[in-house]
Amino acid sequence: MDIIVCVKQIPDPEIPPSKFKLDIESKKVVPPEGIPPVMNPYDEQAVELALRLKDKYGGKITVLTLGSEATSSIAKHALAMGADEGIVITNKAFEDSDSFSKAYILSQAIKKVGDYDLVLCGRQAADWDEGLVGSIIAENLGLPLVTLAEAVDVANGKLKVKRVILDGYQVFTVPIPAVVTVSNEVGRPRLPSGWGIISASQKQIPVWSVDDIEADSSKTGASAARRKLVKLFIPERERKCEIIERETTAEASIELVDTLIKAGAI
Amino acid sequence: MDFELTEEQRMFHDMARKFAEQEILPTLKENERQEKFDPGIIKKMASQGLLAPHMPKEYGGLGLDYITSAIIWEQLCGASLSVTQAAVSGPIQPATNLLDAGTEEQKKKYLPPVCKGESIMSGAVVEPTAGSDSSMIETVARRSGNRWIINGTKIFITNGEIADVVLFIAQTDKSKGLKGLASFIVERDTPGFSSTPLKGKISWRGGSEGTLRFTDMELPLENQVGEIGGALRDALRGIDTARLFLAAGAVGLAQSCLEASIKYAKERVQFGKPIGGHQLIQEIIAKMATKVDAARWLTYRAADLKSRGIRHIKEMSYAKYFSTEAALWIASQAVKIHGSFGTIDDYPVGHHYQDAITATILGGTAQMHQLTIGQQLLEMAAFR
Repeated sequence: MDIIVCVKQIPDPEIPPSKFKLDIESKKVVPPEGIPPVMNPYDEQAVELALRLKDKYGGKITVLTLGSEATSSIAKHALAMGADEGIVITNKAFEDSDSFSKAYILSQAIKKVGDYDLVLCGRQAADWDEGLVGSIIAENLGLPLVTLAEAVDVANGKLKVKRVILDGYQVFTVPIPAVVTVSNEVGRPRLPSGWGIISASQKQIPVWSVDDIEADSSKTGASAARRKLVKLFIPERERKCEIIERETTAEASIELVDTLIKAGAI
Repeated sequence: MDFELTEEQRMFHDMARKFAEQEILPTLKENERQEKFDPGIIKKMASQGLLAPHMPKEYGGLGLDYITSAIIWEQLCGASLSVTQAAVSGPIQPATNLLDAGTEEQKKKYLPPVCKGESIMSGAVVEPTAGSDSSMIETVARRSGNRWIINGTKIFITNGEIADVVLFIAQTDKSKGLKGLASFIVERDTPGFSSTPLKGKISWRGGSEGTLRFTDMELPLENQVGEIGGALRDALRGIDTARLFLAAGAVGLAQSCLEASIKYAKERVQFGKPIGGHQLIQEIIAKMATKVDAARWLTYRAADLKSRGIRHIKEMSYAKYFSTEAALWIASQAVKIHGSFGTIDDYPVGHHYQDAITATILGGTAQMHQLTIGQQLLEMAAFR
């Protein structure tokens, strides 16, 4: 089974809150000094799911990532886990793309990769949490889509996808090829092995540009963005503790409900 | 000169740290309370490629340089120096010794299983009367026809109770002193071999030590490793790698204490503000951080010299002596910063403090390394 996994580089979500800074003027996150970015944890779980399928059925795993050449470290992380090939797609024209543009670029890259049975994406990226790219890729490629998968298997030449819902799970049977977004219920991704790290660090990661994937630049970048970022800020959190004391518990409860309604909490 | 980690080193750093968090930390507290070492961690490290990073690929290692190996050991020991030492000591000390002194047949037979976690190897030098002074070794090897007959006792032997195979030193002719010492390799099921675990430790409680007894133990001649008279020199090659491991491990231990202390000093509020805002705490944190950094670079420098095959006796002693002594001081200060909480095992600093005591003794005491440095600088020995 040949699988393409789309992975994203994000600021390390484990950094202490004091290290998280914004540039209000440019409406951008300031990369924390001395803390390298990491692979989006949901994408890492997508790589893990791909590796489980490869362990069972064989095939090839290709990892696509969008960003600068520095993003190759994320592709190498996937290679060290066991993926076969990593490709970085980068171009000035891609900067400040929104989810629609990123999905367009990735769709073009997927077309260039060619043969595949399955495209996996993380359910969302842990930086902006939009969760759109996987769905839009499916739309762009005209493929069936299942979101929030916790397991994928193959049965009778079709994909059998277990999808997480609030009170249980659903099972979908989907023709191949398809796009599946992967949820954290997949479980802990495997660590890169020592031999995987040595092999990955010696590999050159191909870098594709706008021309390589025959992308229309007018559909990428800030000018093509459908999502307009109006303001970026860190919300202020205020903690207050108010003790409601009344003669009876019933009176206190009514007062508590009134207070919460006034505060907009319920 | 470049002080940045390479991409490969960064990947090993991150992987080893996560491995330690996932595989060592969850069971550490309970195992230490029971003075228990779980040998299952050896197989886990082997399957991850962390058991023998410095050993050549042909014998089951990763063939990495010593700086990268030190980075891995540092990260593993950030969880527990004693557990990591018990897990990796086979590939580090006796295996390195065998790699240098063994025949090709011995190396092919014993090294791959040890580096792959399929067999546990111990190195046995220390005896009740012979610690830093190997000339006091009393384990006797007597030649009888085509056999060696071994009698003696080895103590404080890492994994002595669970080792499948032991590389040890014995005296073949007491009149020759150090020149009478020879190395031998023995498998556990050999008649005359017995072992008992070491219990009641106040330090290194996550590790694994035992006492070995050899009673009229017969070995074929081919179990001799290296030449008679070369045993101490051969063993010191393995011990040199063990010293690098201990220096790197001490850096990892100290870094963990520093991180825990900074976190606690930001959270713990006394006299109306986090204790990190008090000048005396800041002074301690500043000293801790400076010592960690100094220890790390002394260790990496020694590792670099070792990787490049450059003589490094003095530099390895700098690294082992300074790093372990610094780690002991840093761990003691970390306990103090945590106050009474530092004395219970819900926080990492207490067990690091215990391990740091033993780290100053293993692989040559601080005093022996001071004497080694003095000898190198003054060109005269103070201990022989």
